[in-house]
Amino acid sequence: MHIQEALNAPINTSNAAATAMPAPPVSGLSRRQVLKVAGLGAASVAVAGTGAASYRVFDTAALNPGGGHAYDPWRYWHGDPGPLGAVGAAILAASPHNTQPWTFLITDNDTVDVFVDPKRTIGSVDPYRREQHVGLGCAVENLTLACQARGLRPVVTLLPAGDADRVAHVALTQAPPQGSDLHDAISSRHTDRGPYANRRLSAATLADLVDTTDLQAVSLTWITDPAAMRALGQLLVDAAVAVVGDEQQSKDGFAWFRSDNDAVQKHRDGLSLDAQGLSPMVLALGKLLPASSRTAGDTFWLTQTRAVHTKTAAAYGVITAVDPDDRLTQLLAGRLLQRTHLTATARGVALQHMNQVTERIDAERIAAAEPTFGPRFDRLLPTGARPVVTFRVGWPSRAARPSPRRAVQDVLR
Amino acid sequence: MITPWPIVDPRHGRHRLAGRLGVTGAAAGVIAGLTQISLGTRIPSWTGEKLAPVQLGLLTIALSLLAGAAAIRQTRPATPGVRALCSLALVVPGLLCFSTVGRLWYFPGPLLLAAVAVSLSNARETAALAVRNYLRWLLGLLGVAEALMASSGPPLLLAVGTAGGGSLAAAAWRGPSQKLFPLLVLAGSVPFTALAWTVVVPGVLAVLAVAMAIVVSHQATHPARAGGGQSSLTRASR
Repeated sequence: MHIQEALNAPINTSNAAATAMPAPPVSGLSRRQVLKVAGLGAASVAVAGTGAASYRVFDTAALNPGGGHAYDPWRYWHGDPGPLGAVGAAILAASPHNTQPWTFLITDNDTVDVFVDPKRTIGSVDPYRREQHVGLGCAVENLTLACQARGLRPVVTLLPAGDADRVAHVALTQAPPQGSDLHDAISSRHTDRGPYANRRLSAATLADLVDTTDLQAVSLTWITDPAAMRALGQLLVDAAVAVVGDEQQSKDGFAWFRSDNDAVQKHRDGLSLDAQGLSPMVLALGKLLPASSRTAGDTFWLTQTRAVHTKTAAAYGVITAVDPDDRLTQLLAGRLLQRTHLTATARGVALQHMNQVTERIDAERIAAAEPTFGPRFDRLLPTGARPVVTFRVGWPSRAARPSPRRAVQDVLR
Repeated sequence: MITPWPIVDPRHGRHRLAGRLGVTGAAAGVIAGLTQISLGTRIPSWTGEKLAPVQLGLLTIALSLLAGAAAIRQTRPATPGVRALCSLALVVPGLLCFSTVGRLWYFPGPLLLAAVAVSLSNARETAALAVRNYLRWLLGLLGVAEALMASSGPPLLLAVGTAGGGSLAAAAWRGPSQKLFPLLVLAGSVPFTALAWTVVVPGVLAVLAVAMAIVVSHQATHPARAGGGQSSLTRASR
């Protein structure tokens, strides 16, 4: 064939390929074989990765958040009668870092004594054990509501004489059962750390959340003014930064973080990913990733405080007292806090405890450092009122999840 | 009887390389574990700031030793089952220990995974023979993975996931010649994914399962291009 004819002739590609590449490469691997082996390798890696991820799904119980024995107390508390059932409601109360610093003694089915468990503290985060006693007050509030619903009229004596660890004595007498919205809300009350909807809470709604009957030593201040809310939001962020920067506080707080399902089911206390207010997909991904380090946890908390907690709060509530160091005041503040949270739950309002400012006030005080957080907080509160606990409220954008709880048998003396 | 994974000559250069990578990775893993035990609390940013560095360090050492043993075993003649176990014993520590010793695993982990990758790429002789069955085994493994996930779920997911995993395993076992093959694959992957999509992994698993099913079906209809028209897994096992 002439050269020009050859150039102009249509090319049969298959024949051309057959003639141009008639034999496998010298290495012995054809292109098809190389591709095949590469494909099999990729498929193997993909299946191995999926298998490993599947194991993580299994190991972290990502498909079943809120499942397992650690969450049983939330499911099986309502029907149990008598003081034992009331204790089953008491252990569902809020406590700092979900430390559950309580034990109970039931005597002759007509008294329940509540004791502090001194070992269950958050150390330098709560050096004066103020939050611990607020948590005990929360448990007492649940206990009284549950006794009333079970036909037991409770007469509560806080800080009775005698045993130093005994914080409350509840004498019970028979009475007609007295249920309430608050009692029914006990198992629905969870700290909601997620974003809140962009809807304001009316003054009437906020006022409706507060009932200080029998709790005269404490009061609740709502912070709703935009400027004051911005100031408190910044104060909360600054306090979170300071807590993270304080290695001891960071470590003491992280000690109560249960990073995987095994730890949650074993300890049945502390903070967990489930209760961080994450969306279902982010929660699942968070569980699949390797266990969070303290630094990563701190960073996450800071980010959430800046971008979610303070940004989406509809209002802040501060329970105040003249003497926040007084144990009785702390217990009463706990009762008011629990009562407010239960009322909020019954009304569909979300609530999250945010105590980093008072934690930094305590840290500065115990270190005899120049107070920086106390004066800033005082400027936002009524004259003479000092903060005991702080929280934010708003309309929820997703359902809050429960935190693990020890069984009643584990907290009975 | 057709052996889909014939015994491979371990004198092959890539196998030796895989063995060396594995042994080096395992040795580095042991050092990482010892470092976690002895210095875990002093260099927390490197060791992942674990609450139980001693236990995690011991676990890392144990897994590294296992990987090392597997790497050494892999350099000797082995049956297909042993080779698969060796690969597994390299992959599991290689992935898992990223969560036990933090950044300290950034060196040993990739070495162990590279050892597996090199070992797999060296299996071209067997892969050329076993391509169809191998993909079906992988499909079956996906079924096992789905059942594993479902076992930790609430009752509905447990039922759907177990049935789905069984469907995938059945599809893998019966092969693409069965008319039910596509139905089994879809029934094994789609419902579970629909119920558990937020966890992401079921979706990935479903995509993989469907992709593999397509490839397996394609190979069944083009046996010559697929490398020789292997018999089905059921026939091979008889």
